[in-house]
Parts: sequence; C-alpha cells; structure tokens
Amino acid sequence: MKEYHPECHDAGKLVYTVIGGEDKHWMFLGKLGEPWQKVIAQHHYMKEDDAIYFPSDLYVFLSCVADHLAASTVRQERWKGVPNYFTNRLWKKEKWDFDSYIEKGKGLMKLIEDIKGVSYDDFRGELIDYFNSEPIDFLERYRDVLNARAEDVSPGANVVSLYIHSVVVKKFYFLLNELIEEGDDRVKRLIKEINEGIEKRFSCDLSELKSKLRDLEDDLLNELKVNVIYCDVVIPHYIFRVHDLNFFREVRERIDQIKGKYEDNFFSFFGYSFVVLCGDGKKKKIEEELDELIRDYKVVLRVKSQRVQLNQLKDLFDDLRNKRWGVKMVEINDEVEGYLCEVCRLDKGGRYEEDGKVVYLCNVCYDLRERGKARGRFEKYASWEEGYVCALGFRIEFNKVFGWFDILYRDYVEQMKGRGIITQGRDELEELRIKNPLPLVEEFIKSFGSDVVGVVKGRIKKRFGDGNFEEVSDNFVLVHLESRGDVLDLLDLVYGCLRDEMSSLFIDGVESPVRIYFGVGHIKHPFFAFYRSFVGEWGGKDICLEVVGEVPVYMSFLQFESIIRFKEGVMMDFDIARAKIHQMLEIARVSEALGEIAYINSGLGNRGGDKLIEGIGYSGLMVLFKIFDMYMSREV
Amino acid sequence: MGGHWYKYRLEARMLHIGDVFKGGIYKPTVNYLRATAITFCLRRYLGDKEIFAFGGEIEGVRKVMLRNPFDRVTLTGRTSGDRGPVQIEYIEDARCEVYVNKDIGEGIEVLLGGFKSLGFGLSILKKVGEVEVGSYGSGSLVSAIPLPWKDKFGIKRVESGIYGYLFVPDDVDVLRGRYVKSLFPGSYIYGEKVLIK
Repeated sequence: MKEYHPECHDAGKLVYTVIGGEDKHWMFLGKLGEPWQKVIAQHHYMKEDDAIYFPSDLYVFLSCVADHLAASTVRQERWKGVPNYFTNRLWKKEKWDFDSYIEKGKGLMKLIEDIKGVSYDDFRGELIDYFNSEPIDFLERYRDVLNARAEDVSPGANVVSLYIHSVVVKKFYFLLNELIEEGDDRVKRLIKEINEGIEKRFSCDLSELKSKLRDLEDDLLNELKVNVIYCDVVIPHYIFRVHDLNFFREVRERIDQIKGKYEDNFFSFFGYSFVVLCGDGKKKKIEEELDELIRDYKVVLRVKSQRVQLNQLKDLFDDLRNKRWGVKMVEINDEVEGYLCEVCRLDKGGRYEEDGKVVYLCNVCYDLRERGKARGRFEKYASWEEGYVCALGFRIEFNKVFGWFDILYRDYVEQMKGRGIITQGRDELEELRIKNPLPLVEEFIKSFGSDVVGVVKGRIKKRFGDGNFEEVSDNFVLVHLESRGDVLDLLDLVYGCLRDEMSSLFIDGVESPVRIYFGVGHIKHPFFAFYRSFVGEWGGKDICLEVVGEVPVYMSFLQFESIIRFKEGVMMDFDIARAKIHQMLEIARVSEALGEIAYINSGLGNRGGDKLIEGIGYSGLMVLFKIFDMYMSREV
Repeated sequence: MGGHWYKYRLEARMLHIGDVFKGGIYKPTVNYLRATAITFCLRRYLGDKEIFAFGGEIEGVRKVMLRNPFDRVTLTGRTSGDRGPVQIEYIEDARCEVYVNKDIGEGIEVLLGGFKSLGFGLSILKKVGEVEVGSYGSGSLVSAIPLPWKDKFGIKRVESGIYGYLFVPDDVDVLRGRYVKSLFPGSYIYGEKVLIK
C-alpha cells in the first residue's frame, strides 16, 4: 500500500525562492495521483482558492494538523523583516547568522548551491523527478540541505531545521492516527464532520469550508488526549568487574529494541532517558515492555507521566518539571537469609566459583556476567593495568530544557531587533514565543549528540589514543590517564567543544539542562562509584569534577570557563603562580571561615558550612590547584 | 510509638557508614544514617530493645583514606591481593540529625559505623529538642528504614518506594542475622514529618 509520507509535506520549501508559494507551477500540477503528492500539494497551495489543492481525504488533512502541531514558534503576522533561510540554533549563540542567506529570492538558491555543490536548477529538477516515485528515503537523501534550511524563514522563527520539523511532523501524524483510532464517540463525530466537509470541497464556498475545518481542527485537538511518559533508566548495580559493564550495553540494546518497535512514539532520546508520547493502547504495551526491562535487568525506572490535551503541549515540560518522580523497580522478597547478590543486592546470591574465588550472584546477574564474558567488548578497559581512569559522562535534564530555550529565544529575538532585522512589533516581545518545545528539544539533542559528544569522543581518541578510550554507552566513556593531572587536558578538550558548538551554555544566570561529569580515580576504582556520582544530585550545578579522595567540585559553566582561563595563566609560569595560589588559597580559607562566622552571628542559621558556599569554595579550589600541580609535575 | 520523637544532634570527626559490597579495595560510605545502624548502636549501649531511631542526611566533607593493612608476621604492609591497601571513604566533620523514640539523656558518646578499630565512628549525640508524634505529611524519605518497622516510625503510606535490603542482626547473636526489605532515601511516603524532606 502506498503511504502518505507526511515527512515530505514541506518538500516545496527546498525549492521555493519566494515566501507564499508564488512559484506554484514547478510541481505536481496534473500530478495529484499519489498520496504523498496530494500531501505536498495541499500543504503548499492551501492558500490558493482552488479545490483541487484542498485536502482530498482525512489523511491529507491530518498531515496538515500534524504540521500545525509541530510548529515550534507562534507565527506573528505583524512581525516584518527579512527572511533567513539558514537555521540558527538557539544554543549556538556565537554562530547565529544574521547576514547570509537572506537576500530576497536568492537566499535559498545560495544555501543549496553552497551545500549541494550543484546549481539550483539542477537540484530542483532532480527533486521534482524524485517525487514521481514513492519517497521512501526522503529524509536521508536530502538530510544535509534539510538540516541547514530553516523550517520557518520568517523573522525570528528560523530556529528549527526543516529536517527536525519533518521528523516531528511524521511522528505527530502517526500519533494523531493512533489517538483518533482509539477516540471516543465525540472524536468519531468530529472525524465524520471533517470527512463530510472535505467531500463538499468542489461544491461549496472554500473560504467558509476552510474556516469550518479550522474550527473542527481546534475541537479535535481539544478532544484528543495524549499520554506523555518521561523515563530515566538508572542502573543501580554495584558494578566493579569489567564484564559487568555488559549491563549497560544490554540495557541500552533493549531500550533500542523498544524504541524500534514504537519509533514514532519516542521523542527526545538521549543516553538512558527518553520521552514517549502515545495513546492509551500503546501506553499499556510500552509499559509492559518497560516492566519486562525492569524484570530482566533489575534496573530502576524513574518516571513522570502526564495525560495532556494535544493542544496543550507547550506546557508539557513545565508540567513535567513540577511533577514528582515515580519509581518503578523489580519486586523483591521480604527477607533474604544468607548472602545477597554481590552485583544487584536485590536478591539472594547463589554460590559460584570464579577464578578460584567464591562469588555470590543471583541468576540474572550471573547470566549477564557470563554473557558479558562471551561478548568481551570492553577489552581496552580490562587491559589498563597502571595509572588512572577518567569517567566522562553527559546528561540532559529534559525538564530544564524548556526554561532554558525560553531565555535563549528571547535573547535571539532581542538581537534581531537590535540589528533591525525585525522591524515591527518592537513592543510586543512577549508575543513571539516558543509554541511547542518538542521540535527544539529534538534539534538540541541531535546537535548535542553529534556536535558535542561525538566530537569530544573523536578528539579524545586523537589526543589520548584509541587504546586509551572505552565507550561504555553513548553518553558515558572511560579514558585511561597516566597522571591524574591529565584530566586538565580533558577539561580543556570538552571546554573547546562546548565553546565552539554550545556557546549559549556560557550565559550568566541561566540554568542550563546540560550536565557533564568528570570522575578521576585509580584504575582499580570501582566503576559503580563513578556512575553513582554521575546520576546523583549536584546541587543544581552543571559540571562535577570528582577526584577520588578529594572533595567533589561542582561548577557552573561560567565557573568552568574561569577555571580554564585561570589555568592558562597559571601554566605560563607555574613556579610564580604556585606562590600566589598559596596566598590566594589562604585568603579563600580565611574568608570562608569569616563568612561562616558572619552567617552564624547574623542569626539566619546555626550551621552555615556548605550552605554558604555559592561558588566553588575553598576546598573545591584546593582540589583544582592540586590537579594543576599534578599536571605540571607530570611534565617535569 | 510514644508521644514524642527526641531530637539529637550527632557530631563525629570521621564517620564511615558502609555501603556494603564485595569488590576489594574501595569501601564506600553512604551519606545518610540508616535506621538499623543507629538503632542497634543505641540498643547495644543502653541495653534497651525498645529503642528505635533514625538519622537524616549526614553533612560533612567526603574524603578517602588509604589504609594499608599490616602483616604481623612479616612486619610489613600488605601490598597485593584482597588484603592489599584499602581506600576507606568517610565523612569528615560529620553532622546529622537523629530522632529517637525514647529520651536517652542529654548527651551520649557512641561508636558508630565501620572501621571503629581505625578510629572512625566516635560520635557525640546531644539532645536538641523534642517533636510531638502525629504530624504527617508527604515527601521524600530521608533515611533507610526496614519495612517491618514502618509502623513504628509512623509511615502511613508508601507512594513510590525505592527498595533494597538492610541487615538486621539476631537478638541473640549479633554476628548472625537476615536481610530485610527496606525503604531507601528518595522513596516518596506519607508519614511523620520528621522522616521527610
């Protein structure tokens, strides 16, 4: 059966040179036979009063509704200015492009010629031919240009790429189908009315019909309710053997399997966290799959779930933030006599002999360990005998994403106003806002995964050698260090990537959703100790630097930047710097003690201590300078 | 339970509340005072089996001490194998709120937690007040409490539990015992306000 391919709905945007679709004769006239052609034609010519281009059936209509749902910003008719075809990602403040690709009628041509290296006419011809047959690989085939081209080129709205928009529209389209299928009588009545309206398109006033359908669309979105499940999979096991790292691999593979089955319901997937949007039927099935995951691996699932109206998605992340975590974990017995399983500590351990030593493991952990031995993929980590290891982990806190985007978006609009790119509506800043955060979150995760995490991994391999790099999961890696001071090179490397690709993280007073963990310890330090710190609470800070045996240092991105800059100064002449650092530390120590006394004397509390320290604190500074010292000593 | 929770303030120079696991040289500590640790410690000192107590989050600076066991035969430090140097994680200048169901006096000195023979765990409990039993609320549990003790601690309902096992020694032989299903910090409960944050 031929599909509608709603992801292609905006294909015309790859060839439009003028907003509004005046160049309407390029495509599909007389070629409205295939479902995907109907979707594209309807989408681009809806404004024309021609019934031929009107939605010809319910599914074409639903692709249009999905497109409205996936719009990330509220379109402001009153806002005027120059269109920009280039996607400006909010988190890349220093790469915001306000000048290129804005020439009226030429911006898109230039963008395509720059990216594809072919003439605009050739590209257009090839694209039109492509849609003669079923576009099964549209997103992959045109990925580069879809990624660069903004979904909405109007002033202030070019913050989501056409690629992500197309992906999200496809997901929303299938979600709508799913919700309608299990809808109640009111939903069925609305669908009947929509179908009747569509059938009358050749014999009634189109503008009246359009307005009626718009009302029906609003009613439908009010009526349809979607389940939103935000999941965080935590592995609570006491992993200290290399083979047991297989847990991470297998758990991730199982999550990928579930994702594969419900591809269109999974949004915002990073590491072991994801957001699922689904109807009641699939919710039950997905929950069953997750229960099985818990049973099979004894992982802990932190879950927040919410049922919302489909037109209330803009409040989604706010709602999730305010909700408390629920916990799902395996059922355990009331009592255990004898030994507990050494790895999960959630069941009785059976006695096994391993390399002449007695171990106590439950069936699940024993099987996993044996499978890990058979697969043996963490050989590099197992082969490191001397030196230190740095665990480097990346997390995204989804419930903090939206607040962050909101601030970044306001900043973006301000800058556009300042440059005169937006010429009207100066006093109406609050009206230009993010409507649906999901496309932005998708865009952010894609960007963070490839531009930051991916690049960091590549640079680590280059700097430390492939043999000194082990990937436990896509967001958690281990690096073999000769000296603990080498962690400074890693800090430098991560800072470089963040500065290049996520410069918006370094804005004062803005709480970011990104969390980065650096844990340094002896090569024999148990893995679980790193992982626990990684998934633990950091007091709202963005970065955790933990050197085993020292106080963990929690930093914001700005403090991280200061440390890197300070390090550069210190390294220029370390001997002189060392004396100054000692003086500075002494001042920090005394200041902190005086601060605590002042705090207690003020009567505001009786145990100041760590609560007083807003910044890194004396003990944190001490750790950092010890690392500097180790770093310099290493080179002597 | 009686009519009051007696609130004490625990202070220790170095405290190690072991997070028991098998795995060689690293001995981690947890940052909360589980009910079993403080209850059995006080019962041992006071000889009263009706005592129930729990502690909240332990404040202080987390550090690691490297300890190399001494071989009395060869008069050298052991360097390899399971008996090689151990890294003991501990909390320096530990401070913690402790609630006891009975008045155990104005102040008491106890040895608490692990590695007592190395000087860890010398703690002073000072009475700071009393809290009337019966004030309930919902929130995140601050300590680890065996499930069979739920009623003793005034936990009315577990809304979302993080479960694990705590070791409960036998009445007769404290070296023997069983692992009992328990609620761990972060569980969401409806119960006595002193238990939640």
